[in-house]
Amino acid sequence: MKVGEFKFDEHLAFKPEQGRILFKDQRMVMMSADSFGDLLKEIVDIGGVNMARVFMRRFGQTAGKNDARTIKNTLSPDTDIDWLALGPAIHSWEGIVRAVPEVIDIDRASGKFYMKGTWEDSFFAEQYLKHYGKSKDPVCWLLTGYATGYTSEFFGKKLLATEPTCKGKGDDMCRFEIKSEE
Amino acid sequence: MTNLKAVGVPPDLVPVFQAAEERIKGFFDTVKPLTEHGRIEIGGTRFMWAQARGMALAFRDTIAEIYGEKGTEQILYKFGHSLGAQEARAFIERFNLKDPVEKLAAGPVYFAYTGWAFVEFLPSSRPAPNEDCILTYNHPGSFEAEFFLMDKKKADHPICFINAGYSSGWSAESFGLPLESREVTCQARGDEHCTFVMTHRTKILDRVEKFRELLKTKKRAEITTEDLL
Repeated sequence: MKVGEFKFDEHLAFKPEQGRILFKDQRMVMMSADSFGDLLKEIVDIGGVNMARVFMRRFGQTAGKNDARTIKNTLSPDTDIDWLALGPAIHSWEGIVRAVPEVIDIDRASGKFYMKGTWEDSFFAEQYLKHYGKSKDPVCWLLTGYATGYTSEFFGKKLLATEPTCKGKGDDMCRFEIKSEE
Repeated sequence: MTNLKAVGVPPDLVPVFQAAEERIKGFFDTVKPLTEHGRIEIGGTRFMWAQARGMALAFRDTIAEIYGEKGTEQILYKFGHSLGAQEARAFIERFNLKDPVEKLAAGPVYFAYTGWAFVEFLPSSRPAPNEDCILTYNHPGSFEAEFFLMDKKKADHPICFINAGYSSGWSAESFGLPLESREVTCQARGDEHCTFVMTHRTKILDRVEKFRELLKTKKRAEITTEDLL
């Protein structure tokens, strides 16, 4: 499959008679962004901002890793780039964020990986701002976790996603950068 | 027991749940995937998808790593409760629902349409907006138990805390009462069903205990409301 051909909803099976929704073989649940924002708030209330950051990053990382595997195993991407680009595409379809890669520079033979781009309309920044107002640091922890998990699984090597600018700290745009962990 | 499309209910509750099914099906028919913006909207509210496996396992394991085993189950229950209450508030407001039972009936159907679980009420359920409210129900295919088992774990106690919290959160919001829910048997520890008892906070321990005792001599479907009061 080419990334341009992918339509998330074509792979969704709604089974209310079983109380389940499947994306390929992966069980999915739906919730409002506000509910997830409440979860964020609860975790911050319980353990503070640093704990919430660690939590959300780990949670995102596992989700990214699972998505990368599901895509590889069930969608049969035509090329390496299709596999890589299906990650951001799925995040858009899932309603999380619109991820727009701008630079992809990878070479498996030499182990080089570099990717950067923008995250538009991040639900996470939106919810953080709603509950806490402007942060001093980037806040899209779930997204950096997801990007780290997805690309590391894709590349077979530990990579790290960071967010140099974030709407949650008052920047005009959320931007991401992913490279080998140093 | 009558199985509607998205919920199983005792015959006397069929009309109110049938109405809830029609309302909720209509609601989800308006899903608008705005992929070019990375958004999904239903009736103007932003929604998103999440992996059930992540909610069941990664979520649980990450909380346990950070907060320790002891507090994890309470956090999962509290999260489920808040989630259920938040979703109920939004839904009740959107449809301007007034009748408490009508508000409650939307919960299990909404739960099924959003992929969390199918709810099968047991005959001992009495959905009344007062202290005698008792809801007993199974969650066939609970995502929490399903992934727990898939992960080749076996529990020594019930583990579906998000499910328990979600349903009590929605119901508490519907009835304006402090309702709590406890899972009494769980597929994750080898029981036949994930079965829950929900009632007023001041009565929960007593009624859960009664239900457990009754299960030693009766089948779930033979237990009556009067047995539990």
